[in-house]
Amino acid sequence: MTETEQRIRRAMTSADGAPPAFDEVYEAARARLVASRRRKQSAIGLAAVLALVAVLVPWQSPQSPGLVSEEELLGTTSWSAPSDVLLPSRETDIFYELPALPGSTEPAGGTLL
Amino acid sequence: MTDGDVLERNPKITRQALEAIHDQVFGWALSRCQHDRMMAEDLVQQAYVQLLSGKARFDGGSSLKTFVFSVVQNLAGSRFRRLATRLRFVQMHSNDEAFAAPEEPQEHAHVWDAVGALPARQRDIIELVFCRELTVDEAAMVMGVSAGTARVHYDRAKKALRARLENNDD
Repeated sequence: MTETEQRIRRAMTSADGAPPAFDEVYEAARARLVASRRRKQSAIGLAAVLALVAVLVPWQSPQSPGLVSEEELLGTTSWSAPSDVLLPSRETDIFYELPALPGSTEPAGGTLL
Repeated sequence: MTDGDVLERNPKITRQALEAIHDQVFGWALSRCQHDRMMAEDLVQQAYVQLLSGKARFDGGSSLKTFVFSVVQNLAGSRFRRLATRLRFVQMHSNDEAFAAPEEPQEHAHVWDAVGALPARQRDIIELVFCRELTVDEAAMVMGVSAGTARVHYDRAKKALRARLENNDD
């Protein structure tokens, strides 16, 4: 190593000063690792508990207004839809609106339909 | 060597071996942190956490010192990348990575000026070879560059330093 190199080395290493004690840093690192493992374990535990609760406790959905009353349905032989909103607005009368039916005996163009 | 000395998750590392290179590791961490001692201590601690947890696993492919230096270098890199994202504005106005020379006696001021004027890669290799006593090949591993690239940086850095220091001495 040349004199210049030694000079550089002296200058650069002099800036290091006294390093912290190894035991101190090592034990702090170990404690940090233990703490982080503990945090991870408790997070996993909490997630497991939440998953268990989600499975065991059935979700209570808010009571929706029933369109069909079970009691009413069983207590009578007739039933009408509670709302006609979903029914088609135009009804078809098959006797009047369908064209000639296959059962007709009227001749059409020389042949029976 | 007792069983208790071996790191549980890193069976090729012993506590004594780490202790033997601790001062050098701290010195390297110090230069990664702009000579901020608290940050450097935290960085070394983080590196030891990585070794203890086995996240950084030593397989004996290099010297332990080279390996631990690489761990420190990577940790510092990721830490400063995060900081750099926040401080992009500052980076936009600087040509190179910031270099903060430590407060030093006057006798070393010229050396620090000369070192500070080098590009970051050249500074790093000079430090690794001159101060931390690594070979150029080992320094290349720490810096994550090829041995050839490291040698080029090393030669250029030496020439630049020699020129600057000789000019200062005249």
